[in-house]
Amino acid sequence: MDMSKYREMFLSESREHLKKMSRLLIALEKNPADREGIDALFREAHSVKGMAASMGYERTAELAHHLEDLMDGFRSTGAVPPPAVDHMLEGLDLLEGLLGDVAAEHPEREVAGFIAGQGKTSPAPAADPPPRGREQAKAPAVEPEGKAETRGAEAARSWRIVATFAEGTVAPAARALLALRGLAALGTVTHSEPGEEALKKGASPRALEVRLQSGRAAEEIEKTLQAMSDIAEVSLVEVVEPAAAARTPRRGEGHRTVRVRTDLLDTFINLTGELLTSRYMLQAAAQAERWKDLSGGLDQLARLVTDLHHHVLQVRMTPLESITGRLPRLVRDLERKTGKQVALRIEGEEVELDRAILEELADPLVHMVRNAVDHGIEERGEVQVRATREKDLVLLEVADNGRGMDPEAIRRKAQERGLLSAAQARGMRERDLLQLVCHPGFSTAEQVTETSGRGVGMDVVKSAVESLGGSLEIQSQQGRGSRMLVKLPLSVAIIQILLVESDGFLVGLPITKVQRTLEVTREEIRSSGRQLVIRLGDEMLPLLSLRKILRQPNRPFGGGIQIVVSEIRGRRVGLVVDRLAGQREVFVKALEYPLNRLPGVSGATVLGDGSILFIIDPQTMLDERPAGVSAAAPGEAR
Amino acid sequence: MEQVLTFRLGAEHYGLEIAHLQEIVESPPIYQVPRGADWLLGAINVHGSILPVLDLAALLGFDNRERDPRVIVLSREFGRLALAVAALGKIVPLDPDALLPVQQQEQQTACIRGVLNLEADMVNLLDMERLLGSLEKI
Repeated sequence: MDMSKYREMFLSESREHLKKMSRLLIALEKNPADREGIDALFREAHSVKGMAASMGYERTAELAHHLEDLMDGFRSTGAVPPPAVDHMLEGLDLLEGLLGDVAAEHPEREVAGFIAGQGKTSPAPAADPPPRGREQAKAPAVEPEGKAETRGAEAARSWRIVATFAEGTVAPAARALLALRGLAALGTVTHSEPGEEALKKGASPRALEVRLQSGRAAEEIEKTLQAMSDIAEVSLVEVVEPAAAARTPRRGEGHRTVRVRTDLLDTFINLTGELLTSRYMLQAAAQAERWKDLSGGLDQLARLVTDLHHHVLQVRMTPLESITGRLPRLVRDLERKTGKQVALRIEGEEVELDRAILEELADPLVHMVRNAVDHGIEERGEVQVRATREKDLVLLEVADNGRGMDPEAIRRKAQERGLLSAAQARGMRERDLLQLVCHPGFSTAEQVTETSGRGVGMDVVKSAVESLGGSLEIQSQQGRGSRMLVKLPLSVAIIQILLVESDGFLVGLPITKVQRTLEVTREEIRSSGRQLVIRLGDEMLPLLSLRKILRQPNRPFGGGIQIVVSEIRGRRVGLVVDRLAGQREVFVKALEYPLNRLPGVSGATVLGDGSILFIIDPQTMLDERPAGVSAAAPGEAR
Repeated sequence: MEQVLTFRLGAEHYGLEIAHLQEIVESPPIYQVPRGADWLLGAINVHGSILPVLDLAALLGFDNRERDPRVIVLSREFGRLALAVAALGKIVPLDPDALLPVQQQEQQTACIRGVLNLEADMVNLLDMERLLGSLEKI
């Protein structure tokens, strides 16, 4: 039997089980004798075992069986001992690796080592669990060398490597650079924390975290690092990236599976039936030229289509839980790494969002939580993730009660980095200053994170949120914590757009990007340096021309000038357009390759007359402009 | 026997296996794409789907503005997209054994995977994989 079509379903279901298991385990760590938790965990492991066995994934089944056995043991003793939680979590990591193998159609990796290693039902009586880094290193390393090599020849795998330097290491930056180069020789370094630039500037890290893509065996990578002096500890974990395939969206996307409630399917069938009836009625009315019936039939058709549309969107709705599931584990690992005590509170996991939005939101969410723990909280504190519905929006909030951000430090840094002139820096309100941590140049500046408590990767978070048609707001009070507020549409499929015309060419701007529109006269436009500006209240708004952004010929100003006020890189700007052509709700269609590669084109829609309208994101288009256009001077509208 | 749709780009004759086509669309309105490359002629609406139209002549470096009003819509295996060419020609049978090999250099620059020798013409058989692969690099 061809099992391949069931594989996707197996993978998505198993991954859900794994997420639940990880969450249950972390709850059990805090409350080891929770009978319900133990039972639930047993059932999850049992489900994975059953599914894997029926699909013929023997090693996955074997490992799930092993975990199930362990849980069965705990059912009889009545509690999960703390060291067992570590072992189980490692088992989950290994299971995830196995699912990665299945997804990539590799042979499943070896599990016997893991099971034989510590696979006793009663956990080893060791007082302290061994340092986590070492422990993790074992999981991938149990693989027989020969096999690892063959697989290495097939495809590079992705590793997360953390090298910790010995206490009192002299010149850790230099050591880190050497280690980085050593690793680069084994494969491709896709990310390093701190980065090479920061190291060259003399950062003094206690540890180096590297993402490496390499076909080499785990042992070889580990050996290379351990051969270097002053590296006290190496941890090596294979990162399974299910998104790897999705990240290089060539033409067409792979098949994805969604589980749909049967009652929803029934509704579809009923609606389709009604649509058919409606069609015959219309055909009959048209044939007999009964115009009144025709118009009545069209009304009914419109109602059915709206209904169908509403239900189709329901299929794509998924609870937020599907991406918050991994947060407890993340926070636990961060607690271990940093020695901080962090209470994680998650609220509103039942709030539903479009699946496409959730997928894009997963990484930014992890980023924000990680930032809150790493930079917000000092020794102990609380991180709160809260989701609420507000009409057609979902509000997602990541808040901590840590030290908060220092606006003065941000002001100073922004000026030093040339993002703001002295005058601009002085004139900027506190609220706007905080937004600067989302500037790409800002977030890589390591010193900023030290003084301000934030900044790492916030540019990535912001652009991800905005590409979904949402917005990001940052609030912070020194000593009282920070709050990242993300506003998102429920669905990316239907959005409100503002139609604007530029050189006879109609494009759409998502309404979420539009703060207001206004018309000014030629006389109201001033020039400030090389920049054209207008006064808006007590603010000087820099002007940008949509024609210029779209690389169309310029035209002289005349008469009323139409301006769309929008935010670009955290600053308000006025977008000069030729004509405003109204607002409407549109169904956004996914774009086919290579249209989906055009920077700044976020989608397209077919209007009532069959014409195609592209929806653009001016910020991304600006970012694509060659050679450093700084945020301080975002183009001129001449 | 397999068949090939022939078309012209500049002075060259090209061909594409019929199996790779979904349909030929008669002069659809082509909508401009914001900041599209010069080989991206625009987008067309085919049965409610938005498909990109690639200007094959521009893509392969032909300096020619001539364009057939009809566009070729490719089958799904290559992703959904349409090709504009200078002039569509006739459909001819393809005998795999009669296909002449081409030099590696030509394969790369002109995206050809073989040459079909008809009575009067040489028809370059388009290598779609390579063509689309070359787009990835742009």
